[in-house]
Amino acid sequence: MQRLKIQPTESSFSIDLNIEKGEFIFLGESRPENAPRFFDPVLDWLNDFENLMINSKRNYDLKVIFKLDYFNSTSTKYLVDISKVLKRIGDIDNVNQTVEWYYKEIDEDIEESGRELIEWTGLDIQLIPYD
Amino acid sequence: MHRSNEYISFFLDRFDVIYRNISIIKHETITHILADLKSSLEINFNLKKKIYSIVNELLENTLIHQSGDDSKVEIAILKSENAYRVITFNTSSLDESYDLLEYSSNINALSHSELKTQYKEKLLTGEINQKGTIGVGMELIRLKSKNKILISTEEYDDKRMIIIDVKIDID
Repeated sequence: MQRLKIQPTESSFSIDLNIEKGEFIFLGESRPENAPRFFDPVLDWLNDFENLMINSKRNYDLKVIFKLDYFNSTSTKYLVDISKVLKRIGDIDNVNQTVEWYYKEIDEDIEESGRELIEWTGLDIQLIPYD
Repeated sequence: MHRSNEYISFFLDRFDVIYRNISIIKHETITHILADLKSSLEINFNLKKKIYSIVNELLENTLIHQSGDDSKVEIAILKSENAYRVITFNTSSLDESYDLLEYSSNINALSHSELKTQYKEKLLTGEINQKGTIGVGMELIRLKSKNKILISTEEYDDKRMIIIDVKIDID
């Protein structure tokens, strides 16, 4: 599978899904003009990756990093869907996944969103504050 | 817009207008207004973020429900000692305005916990609609503002003017 790298814009995340490095990174702000056009390829890629891991015999270490500033309500829906896929990926026996959710220490909104994703999807997320 | 002056004037004994913008509603307009807010609102981080989020959801709402490609939106932010108000004025078709009124009335009738449950259920099990959104913008605005959304529509030329007014109390 090819690495999926999406450059950030003023209204969309930077996304880097790098299989070779074992690192998936989501950064920035998300309120894309056309949310399905932006997020559907990301979900398709993650679903393909899930199938790859189900059919793979080798152990795989994966670190997922979210460091987000702001996302609108529709982007929240896509983050829920992404978290559901990550939960399934993390449940695959040969995958050793960690998910880190960074939030500014004073940012109650992003911290609460991280907690909601844990509660709503069951995804094991480490909440990590930073200055 | 004459009507917006009239509406805003009702609050001027208690509120100051701290931001006002009239533009053709496009994605770029929202980006521009949000950048204005980021640079001009000098208030505490979480309150600023709350206002930023409400402004964005309101403007995205006007983009979705606009009456034509060159529709204008006016946004005003008012401030008093105890609260902010974010008010949008835009035009829409009759059907769109009725749908929005019904949707907002339903949202306003819910308690905080019912609202939170509806928001969560839509995010967990809802589908993206034909407009490319999940349709929880009003729920999010109410959850963030902790107030009812004041919405009114009235005839404006051959369309409907929609006025949405959200009050955000300063904790």
